[in-house]
Amino acid sequence: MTLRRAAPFLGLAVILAAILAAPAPTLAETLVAEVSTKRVAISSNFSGTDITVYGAIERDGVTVSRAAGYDIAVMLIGPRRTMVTRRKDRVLGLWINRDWRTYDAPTFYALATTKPLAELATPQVLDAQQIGMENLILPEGIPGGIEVMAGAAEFRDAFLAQQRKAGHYVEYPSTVRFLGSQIFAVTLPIPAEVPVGSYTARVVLIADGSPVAEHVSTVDVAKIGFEQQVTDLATRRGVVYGLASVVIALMTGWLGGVLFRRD
Amino acid sequence: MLLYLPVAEWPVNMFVIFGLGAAVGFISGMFGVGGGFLLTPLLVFSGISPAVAVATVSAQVVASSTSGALSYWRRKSIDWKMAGYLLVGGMLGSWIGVQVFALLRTIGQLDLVVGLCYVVFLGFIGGFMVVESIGALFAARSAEKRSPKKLREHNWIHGLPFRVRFPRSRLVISAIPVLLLGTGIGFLGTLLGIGGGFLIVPAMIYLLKVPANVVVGTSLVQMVVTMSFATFLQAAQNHTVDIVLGLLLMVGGVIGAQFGAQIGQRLRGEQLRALLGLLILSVGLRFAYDLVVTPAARYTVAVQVGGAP
Repeated sequence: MTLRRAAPFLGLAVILAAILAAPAPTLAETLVAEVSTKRVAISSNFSGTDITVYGAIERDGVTVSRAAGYDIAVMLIGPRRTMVTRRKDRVLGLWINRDWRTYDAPTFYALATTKPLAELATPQVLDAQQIGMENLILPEGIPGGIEVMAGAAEFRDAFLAQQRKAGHYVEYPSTVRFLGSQIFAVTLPIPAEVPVGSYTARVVLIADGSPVAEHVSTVDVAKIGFEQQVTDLATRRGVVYGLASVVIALMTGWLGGVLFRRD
Repeated sequence: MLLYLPVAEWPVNMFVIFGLGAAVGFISGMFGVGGGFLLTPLLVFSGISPAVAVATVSAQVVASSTSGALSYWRRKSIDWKMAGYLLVGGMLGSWIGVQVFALLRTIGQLDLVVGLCYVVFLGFIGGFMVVESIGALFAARSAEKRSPKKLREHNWIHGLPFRVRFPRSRLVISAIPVLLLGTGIGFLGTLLGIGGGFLIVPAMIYLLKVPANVVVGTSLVQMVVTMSFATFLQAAQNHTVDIVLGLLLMVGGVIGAQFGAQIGQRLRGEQLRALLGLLILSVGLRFAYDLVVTPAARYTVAVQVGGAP
């Protein structure tokens, strides 16, 4: 009984496996890409940095010629965090946080393209490829603990607007430049207040409005040296850090009293 | 010169923060207050998260109170027994404060509660100081000799049980109001990122009838210990003390306080109280304004901390 019920699914699985195992259709462009820095080090004088993403489109003999040429979309995506978006409402004359939604969203999102987004591909393609902040998939948490995929547009829009205003979500259309016909490069600024963690640099090659190749590499943003030691101590050994902070404060106060003694 | 703060994860201009510390230190030296009620809002306005600002200012308050407390110690104007009772309450209040702080941060109402507390306490104390000192200024101008109020006059607080003798203050008073006062100041100080000197000094004078010559020294001892405890708890539990930021503020504050104290000595008591009252009142009004006026951004985004918001 169980076997008979499962049979159609088994069949489907076999067909799927066959499709996946078959050689990919000969969209013969391959994309190679690299980032200028694999590791962004945050030290005490860190005031932001630039990351250059560069690469080449490789074609072989069987590659069909592309009438419209190639387009590139480069995305630098920060580590995902759960972020709360709150709306203030007027209660008894005071503006108070009331309704909220959470978004499981990247803490940073920068996009650079060769053309304005609307000319790059159809909205469906951009949506499927998550190119552009409007097309990001942001699982939404609503009060009551349920997670929904498509929630309140109002909160989602407000979230994106706030992230854009804070400089955490940025789009740079028409900034990816081609050096020759097959080599491209773009420089993306990373602001000083970005969160630390593992970033993804994702490059999508678009030909005639459809994605044909993709390349993903990672960039680590991490504190180094003194900054890192302080953070490590503060987060992992809070008791030691707390005691040290108190001792420093007492010593500074005592020293101040001794240096500027007036009585 | 930009300096990246490791715990706040925020770049700041080193000289701006140092200047901020010095300016607040100047005011605190001039009026003999801690200045936390100015420093915490100023840090928040300059982009540092309220959680880090509140916790770091408690470390700064430790530094700025220590030198004062030592100076009063040398002059022997500290009631150690009273300070002991106050700081037992203070540490309890501080512990409650840290828990409430974490809870409010999780549910997203920290800004509201901190704002309301600033409005209520700063508004009342500031308003009271302004009215009282203007009255005193006018009285002095008309050269009218007012009979000095009887400070030692007893009130209902002195009828409570568990009476304890405080020899240094020449006072026999119930332990309950002393412990409660310590707890309240410890709680508010931790929650709001202030030392609470402008709250505890009037309360000790008007409610407990502690003689004026030991009030300031005793309250400073209570502040050093309670705020040390608050700093430790905030660091150990909430990981929100930025010692780099704290050190900049401390050094700026200690230097600023020296110049402030010199100016303060040239002003009359009533003038000082009127100015300080105006300052406290205006900070309170600023918070009231933020709560009442339609905000520029109705939506705010923050990384989730703790459990469900």
